[in-house]
Amino acid sequence: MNTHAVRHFGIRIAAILLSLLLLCGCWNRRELDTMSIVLGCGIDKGEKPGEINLICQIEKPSPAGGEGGAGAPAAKFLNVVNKGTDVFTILRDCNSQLGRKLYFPHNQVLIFGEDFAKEGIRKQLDFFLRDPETRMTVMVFVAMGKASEAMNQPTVMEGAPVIDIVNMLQSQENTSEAPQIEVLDLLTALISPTTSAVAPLVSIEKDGDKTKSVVAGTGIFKGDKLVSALNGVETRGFLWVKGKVKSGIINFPFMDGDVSLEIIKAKSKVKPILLPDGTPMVKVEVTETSNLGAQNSMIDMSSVEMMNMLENRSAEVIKSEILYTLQKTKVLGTDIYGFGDLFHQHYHKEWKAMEDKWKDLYRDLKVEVTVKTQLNATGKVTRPAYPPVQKQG
Amino acid sequence: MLKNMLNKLSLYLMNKQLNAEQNKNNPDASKINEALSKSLQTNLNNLKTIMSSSNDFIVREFSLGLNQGIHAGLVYVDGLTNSQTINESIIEPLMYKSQMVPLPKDKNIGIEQVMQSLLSVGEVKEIAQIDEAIDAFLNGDTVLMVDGCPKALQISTRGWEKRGITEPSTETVVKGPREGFTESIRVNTSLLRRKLKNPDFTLEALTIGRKTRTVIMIAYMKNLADENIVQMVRDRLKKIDTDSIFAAGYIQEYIGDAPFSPFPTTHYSEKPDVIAARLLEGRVAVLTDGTPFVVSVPMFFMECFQTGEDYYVSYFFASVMRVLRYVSFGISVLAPAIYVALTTFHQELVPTKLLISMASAREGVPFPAALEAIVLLLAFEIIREAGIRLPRPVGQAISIVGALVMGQSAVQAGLVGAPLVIVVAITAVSNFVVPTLSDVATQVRFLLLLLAASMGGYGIVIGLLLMLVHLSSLTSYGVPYLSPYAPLHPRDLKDSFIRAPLWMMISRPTALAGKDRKRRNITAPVKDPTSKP
Amino acid sequence: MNTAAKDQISSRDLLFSAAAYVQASSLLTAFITGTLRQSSWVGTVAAYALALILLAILLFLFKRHPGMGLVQLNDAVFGKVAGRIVSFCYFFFIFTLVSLNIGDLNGFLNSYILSDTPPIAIVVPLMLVCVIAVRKGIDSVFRLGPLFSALQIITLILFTVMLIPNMKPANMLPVLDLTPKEFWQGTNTLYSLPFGDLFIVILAIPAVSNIKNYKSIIFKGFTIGAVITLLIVITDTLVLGPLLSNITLPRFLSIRLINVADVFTRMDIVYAYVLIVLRYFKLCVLLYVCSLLLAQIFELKSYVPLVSTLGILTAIYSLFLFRSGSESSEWAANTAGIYGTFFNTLLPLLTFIVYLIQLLLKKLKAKTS
Repeated sequence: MNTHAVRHFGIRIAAILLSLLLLCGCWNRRELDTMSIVLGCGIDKGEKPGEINLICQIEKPSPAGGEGGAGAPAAKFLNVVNKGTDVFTILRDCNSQLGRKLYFPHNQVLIFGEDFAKEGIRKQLDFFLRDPETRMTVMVFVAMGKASEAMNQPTVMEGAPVIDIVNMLQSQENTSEAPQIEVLDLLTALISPTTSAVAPLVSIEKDGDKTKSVVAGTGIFKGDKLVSALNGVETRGFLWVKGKVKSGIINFPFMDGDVSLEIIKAKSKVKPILLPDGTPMVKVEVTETSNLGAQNSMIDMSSVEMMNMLENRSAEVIKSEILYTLQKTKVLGTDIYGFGDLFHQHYHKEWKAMEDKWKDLYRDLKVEVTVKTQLNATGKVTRPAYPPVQKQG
Repeated sequence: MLKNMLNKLSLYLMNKQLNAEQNKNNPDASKINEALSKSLQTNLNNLKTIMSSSNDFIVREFSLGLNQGIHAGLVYVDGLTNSQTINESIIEPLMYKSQMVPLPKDKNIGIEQVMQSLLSVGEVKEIAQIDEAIDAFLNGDTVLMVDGCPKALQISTRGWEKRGITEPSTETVVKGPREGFTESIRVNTSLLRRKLKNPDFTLEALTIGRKTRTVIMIAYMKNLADENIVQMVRDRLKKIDTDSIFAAGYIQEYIGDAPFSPFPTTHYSEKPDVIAARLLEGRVAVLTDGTPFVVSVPMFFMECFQTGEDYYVSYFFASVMRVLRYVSFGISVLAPAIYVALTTFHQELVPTKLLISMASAREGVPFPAALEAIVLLLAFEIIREAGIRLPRPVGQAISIVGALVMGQSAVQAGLVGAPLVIVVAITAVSNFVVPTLSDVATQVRFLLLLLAASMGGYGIVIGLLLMLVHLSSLTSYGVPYLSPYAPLHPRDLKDSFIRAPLWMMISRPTALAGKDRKRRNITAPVKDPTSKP
Repeated sequence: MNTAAKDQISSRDLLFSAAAYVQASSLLTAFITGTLRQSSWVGTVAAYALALILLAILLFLFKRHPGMGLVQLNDAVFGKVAGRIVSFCYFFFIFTLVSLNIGDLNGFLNSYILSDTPPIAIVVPLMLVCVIAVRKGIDSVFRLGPLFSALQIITLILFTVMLIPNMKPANMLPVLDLTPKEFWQGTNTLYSLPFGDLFIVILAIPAVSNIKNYKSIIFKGFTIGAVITLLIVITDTLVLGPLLSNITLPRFLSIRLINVADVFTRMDIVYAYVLIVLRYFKLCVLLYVCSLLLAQIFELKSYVPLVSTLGILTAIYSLFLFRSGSESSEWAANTAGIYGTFFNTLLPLLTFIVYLIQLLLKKLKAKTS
């Protein structure tokens, strides 16, 4: 290689690179101490019509130093509340208030206040969909009452209340009484012409003279307005059909006491069928496995005959939960299950005709529910803690 | 264009000027092309003048033959010769036994043959020029001149103090041979001979260096090495025009391919088994007198991550260690850059909890992360360099003071953030896992850090692409540097980032030679005959 | 003995380089998912089939004119003046192609990763690396082809596995819920720009290898690239379903959704890295062919001095090619198909037809004389 040419070229490259470094000023550079990390957002209806309150929960780190090995310093949080007509302008106000720019990629929670949700969420939701900083995996909640109160409750475990709320939602898997909805799911439901969006509910309960937030139940939207709610058990009826029940307890009276079955896993298969005369029908098949959790009677439930009876009984309970929720949504006219989309996917030619009439079709939709349950084990003991008793009857 | 021309012009003029100065000032003694004269006295006087009658330049005149009729003279340099050989094998037989041998009438012819039959030394050569004679005794041989004879005899009597064969300090092994090369080239060739008892093992000698006249030897296996590569080595060595060759590093720079690249294109080693193995792969080695490091070419990038020991321990462990070396190199080059990029540009990529603790660590720190990183890296380089130069007793104190106390206090004073100290520490430690590339890693690390500080993750990508472009266009003696990764030779991948079992590595590297590809036969490991099928 | 072949590329390297070239466009499939929605995968298969036909035509032409580059081929078929004009059309196409590719990458980086950086600071370093690489010799770029291809394949497999929890098979339906116009539009877009410009790789082959019959190699490489694109489209459809037409960059969004055990979150940086690296490869090949064509059109001795100039020109051109990102997406979804088809289908087809006519005339002449 010609050393002169190489050196010349090398000098040119070095000059270009150096000048690039000097003139850039690093536009995208953000030092960690110039940003406020937003952990959760809440939107409430404002006092004046057309206004909203935006609450941003920001993590406030305490400066490190001092003892080196004391572990991670406890992070405090800060709720910043601002009023305005839409989210973007309010954000600019927040920035000027704090002196630091809000940083959204770590936002985990979006809570809509009840009043605000009743008036329609689409307009303010758009910012969270469009901005490249926000992510689609943010959990959505509807607060019974004001979002600001829900975000201000004293924390049980973690530093910030919103993290608490997320944790509570995730632990809901144990009881299956609230759905886990991300912005992505909300968006999918909102762009569908027939499906109704849902979101888990956060409510505030009094515990003596202290208050705490509780996550249970579902809020149902019609279009983008909140219209109704399901309680915990009804939510489970909804989750059975969606196949999202992961764990829980089925309680029912049996013989001379109560029996609790612990759900191990559950699956659901939903099939849309177009009957020859053009009416739509949906077949829902739920398969569930459970263990005997606890029993309150003297009878030994471990025989095959008993187990079969338990299985049948629990299947009936599940079916009734499903049908109850289904009926409630039919009355409301909200297709939260997404049956309409199912027909669109499987019968897209006929769907064009059905689409506009779906509200009525849904009200009269024939839904055939079959539940198959299986009782697996009885736990560590077979017989209850009673002296053995003859089976009655 | 203009700059290019100006550059060329200035270098050319400078060269010309230096050459002229040199030819005016000292005519090089080694360029004397005179023949030896017939007269002994003339020869001896010439030599004494050339050697400036140095203290260790010994001239021994004596008489041979019946009646002591023939005058002869012996010249040698004390300290470079084995005096026992001179006394017993040269002087004694010549002085005493020559009296019993009839000398030819015509003194001009045949005297050398007679001498040769009297001398009981192994290597005897005839020389006729003065510079050959000078070369001879400066290398430790003895030159025997006879009055009336235009030729002289060069007798091999080399012997000097040298370091014994010890374990090389730069390449320690746990489970392999511990012999290392020494500074004497003959010892080194003997070590190689003992490993490669094959007539194909060829040694060619050259002398390089105007003033130092260092002996260089090219070693290769005749039927394995690519003749083009050997010729390239010869040509490049012959082109070296310098005053001195003191170490293998000089040779490496002169015969290496890319002088402006931070990456090494020539390999060096201190261990004979490593060099012997490389010769068997078809490579060419260059031995330099005066240094225990032997250079071998061509070199691949992946060799920086190989050590001789890989072949002596179990292949699974060796493979894991190889992968670990690649990962360590990656860490030592990328860690500070990634840290800076993540904390200043791409905070969304860090898990939330980690980000919160990093943010708390950076509260109250006055400098931007990039500057901190540069300062800490510089501090580490200073400590490292100081550690090499310090005498041993003081070294311990400095490492404790420097590393622990400074680091701890800096964090507590709020000058740097604790995570950064950890990052720099990990970088520093992984730097030394791959010693061949530790200087490369330092340079690349700074470049990537600067790029990351200005453009974040994109800067790192650009930097890595630049490095990749550079590496993939680099060739070592015509062989692509990134073999077997870049021109993909799957057969050769067995010894790259893993070390396949020895019985699987049956062929020599594809990129090096084509003549004799088969290293060994595939034989699966022997099954224990007593175990159940 | 490999001495003479040391600068040449092996057939395997060439194969994967061709694959990497096609894969470079596989990550920005947004322009077809907007029109084709859930049937994008059908469009992909259709585009692949069409592109094969085009490739066959071109390979046939090259086979009949051995040892000739594109310019010489056009000279032979059209005569010198018309041939140069046709070659210049190709050159213009490739020139804008370089700018389009840079512009795509620029758009992506500017909107998601480095939002405040002025585009020139993104474009210049990448162009610099490409220019350096091409000047050092396009064969060293081709040597890295398999590496880049393997990188994307491995990450693709990993991502697909990690996305399994997010996939809903029902999202693949409804299939072909499109008007024929939409279908052809989407297929055309995919066919013309990402798949159709594989012929540029063919133009670069003579410089890097001695392989005479590269037909099967190109086909195989193209198939690999097309399969990868198909896999990506299918995965995105499975994950996003009806959202597909809403999202500007479906692949990016799918990867953002990955959340395996809270450890593998936020993998979008891997996506960005693979994208940049593959684009760099494609840009190098494009830049090389661009300079080569220009050098051949004007019969210059070497193309090397043209590389840096063309690099700078295309970089600047990419900056003002479109006024905004949305204009670029709209152009890509609507106009790109027809624009690309003109150059990579109609022109070769024309060449083919003229060549056939020439053959026919020659045969007639031979018969009469």
